[in-house]
Amino acid sequence: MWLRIFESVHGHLGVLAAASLFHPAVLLRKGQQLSRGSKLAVILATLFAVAAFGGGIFIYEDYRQLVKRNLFRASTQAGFFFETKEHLAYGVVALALGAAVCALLAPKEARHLRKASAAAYFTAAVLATGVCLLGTYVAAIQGFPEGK
Amino acid sequence: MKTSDVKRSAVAAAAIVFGLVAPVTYHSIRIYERLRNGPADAAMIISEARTTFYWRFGISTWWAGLIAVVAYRMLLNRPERLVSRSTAMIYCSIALVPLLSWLAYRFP
Repeated sequence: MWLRIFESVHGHLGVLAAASLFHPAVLLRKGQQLSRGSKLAVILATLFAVAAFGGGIFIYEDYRQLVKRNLFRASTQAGFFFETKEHLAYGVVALALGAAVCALLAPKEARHLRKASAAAYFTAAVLATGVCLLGTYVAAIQGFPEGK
Repeated sequence: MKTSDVKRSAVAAAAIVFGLVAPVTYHSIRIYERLRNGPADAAMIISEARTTFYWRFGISTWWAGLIAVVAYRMLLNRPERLVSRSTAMIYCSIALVPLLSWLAYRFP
């Protein structure tokens, strides 16, 4: 039961991360200095992405043992999509972390750096959306069995 | 620009470099694995050691960190390059969307 709950929480955090990563991309696009609220948005969006990725890592071992084989048996394409999702998710976290540090540390007049941060957030957000779509598709094919 | 601002700018730019290099390195390792072991098939993926992903993750993070440190040192010595490099980073970020998507799909 717990694994199914963790799987669900991981999925919901992923959707939250994908949606919230667009926010800093919009906030930073003109390179303006960040207000306190904007800094909070940057930090939270990044934390959502890290939390979703961390949740995936947390259930990864059980997923390999209990789901992956059945997933490939149910649909080979879905199994490959799971792998694709896993690879893209790493990119999302790396980009979001880099963009967050850049946005928070860029000095007042460094508009160009905040614009670069916005581009990195945009890329992370688009990739995260792809990860969510693939994750939803895969979860619809095969998830943790009942009672796990 | 003040010295502290130059340092902060260099760290900020290096952070973006980290974000760009890490996924590219990850996919490079992936491509190397596929070239070495042949095209992906279900049996191979299922029998893959659980540590493979963690190693890929660790190596990419380490390498991206190293490149970020090099970028930091370079930008610290040539702060006038920050603007042009930032523009390049914007283009690289946008280019990563189709590139990473294709690579992740092509080499699952």
